[in-house]
Amino acid sequence: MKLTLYWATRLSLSRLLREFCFAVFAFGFLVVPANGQFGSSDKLTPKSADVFAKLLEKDWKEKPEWAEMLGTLLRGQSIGANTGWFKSSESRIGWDWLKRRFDKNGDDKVGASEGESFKKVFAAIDKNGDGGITKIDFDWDDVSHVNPQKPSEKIFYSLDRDSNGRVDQKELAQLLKALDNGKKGYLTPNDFSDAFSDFDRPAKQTPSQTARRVDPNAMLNMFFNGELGNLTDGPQLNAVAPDFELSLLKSDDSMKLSSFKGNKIVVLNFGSFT
Amino acid sequence: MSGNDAAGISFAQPKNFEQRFEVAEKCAARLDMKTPVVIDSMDNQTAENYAAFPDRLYIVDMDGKVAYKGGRGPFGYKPREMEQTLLLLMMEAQVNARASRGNGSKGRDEATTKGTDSGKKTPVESKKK
Repeated sequence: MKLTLYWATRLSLSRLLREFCFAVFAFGFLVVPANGQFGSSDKLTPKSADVFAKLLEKDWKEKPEWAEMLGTLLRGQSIGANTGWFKSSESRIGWDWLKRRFDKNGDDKVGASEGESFKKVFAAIDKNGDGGITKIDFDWDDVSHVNPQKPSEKIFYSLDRDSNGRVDQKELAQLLKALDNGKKGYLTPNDFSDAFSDFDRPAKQTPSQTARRVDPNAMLNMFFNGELGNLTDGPQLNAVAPDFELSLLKSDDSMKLSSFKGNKIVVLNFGSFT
Repeated sequence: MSGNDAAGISFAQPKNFEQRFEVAEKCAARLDMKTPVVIDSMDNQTAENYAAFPDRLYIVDMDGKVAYKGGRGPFGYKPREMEQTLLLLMMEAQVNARASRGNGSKGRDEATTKGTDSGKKTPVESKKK
């Protein structure tokens, strides 16, 4: 019932009184319960979550990463590589630079003969090890030590103790030592099944699938708690790296990042051990 | 974390810097880390600045700028991918140094040459928790 107010100037007093009484009467039907409850659930409804997600999906100038992640969570989508704020890496130098600099014959491949003094380095860059460097050597989407799918991948990553993508003599020797129950000097099928029984389980219990069954509300709480990642964005590519001065583990000194400027390239390897 | 327990790694969350330091020591010993390890303050400020939780890789080039920004961990944590970029950066530094030496240009040249000599990387591991 729409209430309209009439300016009194042109109206007669009697008409105004009539209108006023009508308004009061009409208003009686619009009374809202005093405590403000409309009787619906006090959790965010799926419909509201959907509206919120749509707002977050609009084109923003410089949309922060938390907005992308929150949108994914509100949609109830499972998290994993290439969802929400989990994206591919960025680097200012890659295939394009290599091709420009070294692909002399323009065949979209940099081979050993074109490598000048960098031949040894090329072997390390050659991801698929086919003897030549091409654009596909720069595609790392298929690599995930977090959630390897195939049993052979799972075994490989558990062998690759230093995570350098290679299993060498040393790591095989470590494997022998670690798996050898009773220090026999050799391994039996039992030693193997003891160590790798996890991989013998049927594929349906993969970690990503169990993660999917996590309650969406719990995920949201984890998100706001910072447990899925920082709510900040981190420096942009080519921006000045945020400086820090932190205690060193093996000496009484501290190390300041900016002290390396002009002197060394620095790799920052962030991790935790709990 | 079940993965950690299976590997025989189990720590309570450190409540102060000394405890975090201890965890970091055990981590470095266990993983036989040869690179310098630094420890974030308890307010995790550096991790915040780099949006680095739970793990993440960056490369800072000789101009102090972010040259590689790894995807957020755990999914984006790819050491071999980082290594590839690192190698390219080191090649770039050498290539540039040769070029400027060839031109006989001055001034900037010194900075670049110095960079080439110590064009090795310094991996700095920042530990939290």
